[in-house]
Amino acid sequence: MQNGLKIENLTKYYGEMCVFKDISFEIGPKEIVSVVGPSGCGKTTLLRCLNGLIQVDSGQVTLDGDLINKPRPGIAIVFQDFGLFPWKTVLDNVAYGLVVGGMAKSKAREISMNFIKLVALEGFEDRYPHQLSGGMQQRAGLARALAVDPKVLLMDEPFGALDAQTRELMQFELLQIWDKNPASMLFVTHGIDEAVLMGDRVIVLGGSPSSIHEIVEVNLPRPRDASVIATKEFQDLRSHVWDLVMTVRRNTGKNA
Amino acid sequence: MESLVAPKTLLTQLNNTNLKIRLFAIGIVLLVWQVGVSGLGKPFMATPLGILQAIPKTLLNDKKLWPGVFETFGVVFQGISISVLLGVILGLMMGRIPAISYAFAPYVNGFYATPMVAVLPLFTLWFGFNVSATLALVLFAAIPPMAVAAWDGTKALQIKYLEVAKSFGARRRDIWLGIAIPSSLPFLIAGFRLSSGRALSAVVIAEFLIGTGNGLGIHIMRLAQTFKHNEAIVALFILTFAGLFLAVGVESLVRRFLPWFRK
Repeated sequence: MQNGLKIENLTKYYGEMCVFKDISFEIGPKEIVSVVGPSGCGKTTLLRCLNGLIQVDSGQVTLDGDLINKPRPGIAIVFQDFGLFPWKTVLDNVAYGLVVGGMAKSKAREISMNFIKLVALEGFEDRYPHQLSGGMQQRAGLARALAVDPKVLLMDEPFGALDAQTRELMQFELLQIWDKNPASMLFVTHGIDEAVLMGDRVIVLGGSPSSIHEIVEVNLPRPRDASVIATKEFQDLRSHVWDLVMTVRRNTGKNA
Repeated sequence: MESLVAPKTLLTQLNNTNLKIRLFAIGIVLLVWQVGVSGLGKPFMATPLGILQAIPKTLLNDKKLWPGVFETFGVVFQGISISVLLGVILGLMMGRIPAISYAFAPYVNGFYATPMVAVLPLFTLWFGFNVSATLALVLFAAIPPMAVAAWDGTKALQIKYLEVAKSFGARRRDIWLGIAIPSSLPFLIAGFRLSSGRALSAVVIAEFLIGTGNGLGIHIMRLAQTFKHNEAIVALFILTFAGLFLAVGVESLVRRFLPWFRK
């Protein structure tokens, strides 16, 4: 029996166009793998293939040895645009995954309250999403994903829609939350700093069709906090990943 | 904290100064109207004071007014009910089933674009010079906006919330009841507004042009033609209030029962 998420030779076409080809990697239990690459390289599509939201054309994904071909409990997504339902309160949004999974509403709310506290949204549980700032909405999105007690968290540019300050704050908060509730995580991002800060490894995608250009090991100690950014190790890794992304951008011919 | 969620009513939107401006403006308009008509020397024209006097007289003593109101709003109510029902069903099906949308889109868009008054002569030939033609015109006017709204609502659904629901393992039933209906509500409300406004217009147009029956529209026409302009305007107010009720009343119901809904 293998542990963790195993991705083997994934290939995806949209019509004639090949989005990515032969992608293989693994995310061990409680490991964080970041994915970076130029815009349009298929990062978001890849993420949706990992929980079966989008079907792959070849290859397979397994979680602890079980084939994943459709969404199932155990894998939760945090969406870039938060994906909160505007007609539900924060509490009912956070409880959504549990309720859909068949749990009684009162029990689901009770559990959800714990995660609302965890993401520091206590006191806002009866608000509607439009009454919250972007950062608070994404905390709710995170709480909703955590509430189902996932083995794997798929983060789809979770802080991409936030302003720079909020994004930085949320990065460190996420690290703290992860320290308390470690799960395997795929962290898709545009931010190179963010990728290095979060990941145990950073996968650089590139080429057309996309494939894995390089996997960079990030041997920074955990728990990580703001002080890690100033270290030489972080800066070296960051500039290495930066160079790789620039290289694949040039080779892909997407110098936007 | 609580002020964040305070409901916005018409009254809180108007602060004191704005209220004064509004009252001042209406005072000027009424004054100019009253003085202007007196100066013209045409005594049959409506004036603010004349209308004021006509209000109790018309509402209490005009024997044809209330039967006309019932006739007209009976058709409006029937027409809107049928339009909402058929429009929503048609729109949802168009949103979910591509074949249905290919089949019906040209008619929905075409009927929507056709000036409703232009089809009335045909409808009177088909349905007769009576209330059936009126109802037919209401449906012709009110179904397309409702269908388009429901259609747009289901299209918007697929893009945004479906993915979230599916990623948490939602089943078909969860998606229809829990996602499709609430997420298309804003669209349906916008559609209802358009649709009910057009229904109201359609009834009055049909009454004017068919010229039979005793509806409110035909009653206004007869009052105006017999130089009872003050009384005609009082009757007209009933249509204005009905239109406002459909627009504002629905809005405030929505604010009360769907606090998450922003315009």
